[in-house]
Amino acid sequence: MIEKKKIINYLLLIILLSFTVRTVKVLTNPIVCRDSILYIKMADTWAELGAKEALVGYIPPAYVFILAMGQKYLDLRPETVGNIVGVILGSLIPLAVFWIAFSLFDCYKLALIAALLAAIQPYLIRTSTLILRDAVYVPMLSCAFAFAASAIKSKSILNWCLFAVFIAIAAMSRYEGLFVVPIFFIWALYELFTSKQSLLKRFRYLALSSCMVIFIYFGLTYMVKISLSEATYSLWSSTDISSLEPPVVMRAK
Amino acid sequence: MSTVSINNWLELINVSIFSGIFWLTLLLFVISVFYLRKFRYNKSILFFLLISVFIFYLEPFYIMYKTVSYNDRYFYSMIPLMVVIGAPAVLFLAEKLQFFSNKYSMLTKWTKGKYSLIIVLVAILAICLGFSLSQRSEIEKNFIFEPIEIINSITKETRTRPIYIYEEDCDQGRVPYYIDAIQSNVVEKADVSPDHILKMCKALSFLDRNIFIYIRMPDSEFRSKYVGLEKDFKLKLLKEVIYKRHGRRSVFSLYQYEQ
Repeated sequence: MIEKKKIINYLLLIILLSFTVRTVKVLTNPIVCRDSILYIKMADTWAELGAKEALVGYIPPAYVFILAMGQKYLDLRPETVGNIVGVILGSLIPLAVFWIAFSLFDCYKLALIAALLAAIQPYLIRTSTLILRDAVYVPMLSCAFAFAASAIKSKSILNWCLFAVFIAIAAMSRYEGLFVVPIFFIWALYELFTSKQSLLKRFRYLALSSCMVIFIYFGLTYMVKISLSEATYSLWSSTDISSLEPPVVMRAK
Repeated sequence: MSTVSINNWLELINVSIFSGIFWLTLLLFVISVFYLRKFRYNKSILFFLLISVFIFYLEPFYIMYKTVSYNDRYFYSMIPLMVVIGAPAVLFLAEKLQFFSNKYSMLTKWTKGKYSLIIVLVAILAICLGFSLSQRSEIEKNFIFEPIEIINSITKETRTRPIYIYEEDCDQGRVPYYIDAIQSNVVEKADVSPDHILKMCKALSFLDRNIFIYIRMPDSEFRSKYVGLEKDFKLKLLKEVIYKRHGRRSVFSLYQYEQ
């Protein structure tokens, strides 16, 4: 019990460290990079005119939506909303990483080291402090993996459902989130042939979890796609990787 | 058939070095977990994570194949998973080298038997990291160099970033779909008029911050090139700066947009 409290304290300290580092970075070096200007402008338009005019190109809507809602309902500038969201979500990455490492190794020491590495990893600090889609994508992806690791360990269908929710949000932030769906099916095949459960049981578990993942992931992203179907300039699709975001030189005329 | 530019190749080299760090971390992980059986692990979760790491590792190459453009940011999707794999590698190294017990023990042991292998790995890792960082700065100096530091020191404005906007976008009265500061220098390539610059400043005014413009020519040349702009020229010259680029002496003029 005491040991558990100690570990929780350590974890809280790591999260606090993570939060402090990110906050300091935002306050001392508040950079708006070139992509940020686009997102800020899109959020601005969304808050004033709605999604129809705001979304352009292949950019998924989740991040711009968050910025726009912050401006619309909290009356904060998109830049400020982006910083707040980035710092808060970024500070939670060590928690997700702790969870993944603990599920994997069943060892608090390793899980704490992994969490500490995530708290001070320079790129993760950078992504959390810029007005970029990565600020939402990376934490969502980490949470999805945390739920996946937990689901594999506990064989919980509920955790697979949460995994699918987080993957859907990640894919609605950056299309790369979609790459995790095939990973799930590769794992399911592996599990089907290597699990020590009876064939019927493992088949039932994998079929049910696969159905839930497909239903939730595609259901959520499809609903969002439909709700944004009137967006004039939006070419975003959560299922079509052939329409990868064009590179910098091609996007600009 | 598309071609890959020198810039892409250099980025690819940079990414390959990043890959080197990735492979070494993975190697340490494999040694500590599988070879020395130092840590217990859940086989099924490990499979899931390793598949994920490999898919995210391969993804940038797929993107490069599809688009002939490279952005090493794509790699960063796997960083949360890398730190999970990095944790046993770190602990393993720390314990084996006895960093925490006796500061001299590492020195006495590092030439013996299996420790020498670890030392070699760490040395390679450090070299890769250092080389990667130096490469990155070289690339930035030569190919994506923008005088950000100079501008920042003049304007005392930490938020300053060079921004280029394409003329078509400005003509439509909206902020462009993409603002590129790296791969293309529009001010040099397109014959950008002061009118265009003013449109671009106006389009950016929603940002509610100072807007600085730099033009790769002396102020006198810029003004002489565009006769008759005095009336609407809302750019205040802050400074003319001489700097070296690719060993050649260049001049740029830094202006502030007066809103």
